[in-house]
Amino acid sequence: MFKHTNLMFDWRSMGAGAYLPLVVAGFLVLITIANNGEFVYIMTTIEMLFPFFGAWWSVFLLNDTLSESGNEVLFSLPIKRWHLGIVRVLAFFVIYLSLLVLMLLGMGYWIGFDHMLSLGIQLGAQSFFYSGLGFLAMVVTANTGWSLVVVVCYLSLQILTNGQSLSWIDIYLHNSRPIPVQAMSDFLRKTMILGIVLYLNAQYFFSTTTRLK
Amino acid sequence: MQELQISSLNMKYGHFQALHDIDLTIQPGIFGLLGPNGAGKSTLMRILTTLHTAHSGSIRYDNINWEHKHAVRKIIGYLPQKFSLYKHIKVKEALSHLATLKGLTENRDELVQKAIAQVNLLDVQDKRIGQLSGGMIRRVGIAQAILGNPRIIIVDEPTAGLDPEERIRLRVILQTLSSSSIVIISSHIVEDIETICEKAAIMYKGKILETGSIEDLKQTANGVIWSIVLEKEQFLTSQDQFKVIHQQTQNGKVKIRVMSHGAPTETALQEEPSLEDAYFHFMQKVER
Repeated sequence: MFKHTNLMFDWRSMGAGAYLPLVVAGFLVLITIANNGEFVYIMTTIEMLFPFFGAWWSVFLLNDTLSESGNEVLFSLPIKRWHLGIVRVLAFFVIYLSLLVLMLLGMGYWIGFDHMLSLGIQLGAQSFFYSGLGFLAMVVTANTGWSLVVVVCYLSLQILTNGQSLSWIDIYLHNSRPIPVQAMSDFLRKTMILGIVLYLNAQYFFSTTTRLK
Repeated sequence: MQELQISSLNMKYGHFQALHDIDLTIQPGIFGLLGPNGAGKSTLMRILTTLHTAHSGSIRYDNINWEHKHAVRKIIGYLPQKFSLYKHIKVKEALSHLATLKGLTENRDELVQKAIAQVNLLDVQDKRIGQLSGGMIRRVGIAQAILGNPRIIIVDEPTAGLDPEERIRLRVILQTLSSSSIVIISSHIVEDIETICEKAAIMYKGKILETGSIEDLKQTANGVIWSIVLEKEQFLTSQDQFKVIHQQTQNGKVKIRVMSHGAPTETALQEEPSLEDAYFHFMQKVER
């Protein structure tokens, strides 16, 4: 299944932009340190920024595959489309989860290690949703700029209306401190289902598109 | 080597019939698809590369049927008109990655080096693709298409946007490749087809108007091509009288090449037709 996967190649093909989520994770650790781990000051920023950048690699990973002239070559190779699409995006989502773990470890001393699991599950689920949203936006628009506009619009809508507008697609908890894992089951169910729907639709369009360059 | 057999191929985009009953037999060597924009060349190329599926008809090569896309993809190499993938990646690495995607895992480095050498890019193999000139990027495109010696190589508008030196270089590369594969090129540049192809088909509005060897195609315009030398002023006042195919200024005079079923002037000389003449002749017939 992974014989055609070369994550290092995919990473390098994204250019310098690939490093931005690392910078953001580092920035969030610094914000946490600067605020001495006080959730009330940092939680909104973390919830707003970290999941959002879950879409970043989905979008830029597919830049060559969907936006660049000559991408027809990739679709004429003896390789299944689900491998060019969903497998690579999911692989980078797993890397993003690793970044989440590293970020939480970096914050652990200040926020308390007992909150890490709850925060990790919340941010991980939200990042999964964003990763799927970035994937779908990229497949539909075939343009990195427009895909980021779609993702920013979703973020703005939910943050600015505090989840009141189109609440059925709101994946934010808008919490100012970590929520016990047991209390997150509805949130997790909804966020994961929405994420899976995004992924499946994105892959369906990816598999059937003939709009190549 | 085997032939590529295309039979009764039809393709529609909504109500628009892009290809009408295309029948072609393509033998080893270089085969050209010539036609104006919108003739259906790119649609045919995309069907051959399995990017599109024809609505009816069949394509076969050896025992491979185009209904089995995965099997087809193992025997084709494709270079689209524009190729600008992997700008941040070095030439050698990009080709090595594409070789992996093609399923070429054995002797991969050797195959990549061979392809790089064939297109004369050894000096820049460690440069990023984004740092190369347009002609060199085109050659990277050719290199990826020939990785693993595919039995059918499909090249769309091979020389579009290239300077004269790169054009010549690319034509030589394509001719070399044709010794071991079927090479199909699509172009609206008649010179490309005339210079490098052994056989060609002229397409117009989704149909094949004529197919055959370049010499046979040229002969379809036999007896209707003339040249006339005119003074400049004379040319400016009388050019609407002639169907001018080509004009050239010589020592202050204008030599024109015209199409006419009889001698257009008393001083006109009959000329051997070129492929461009034959192409012009076909276009005149269908647009009449």
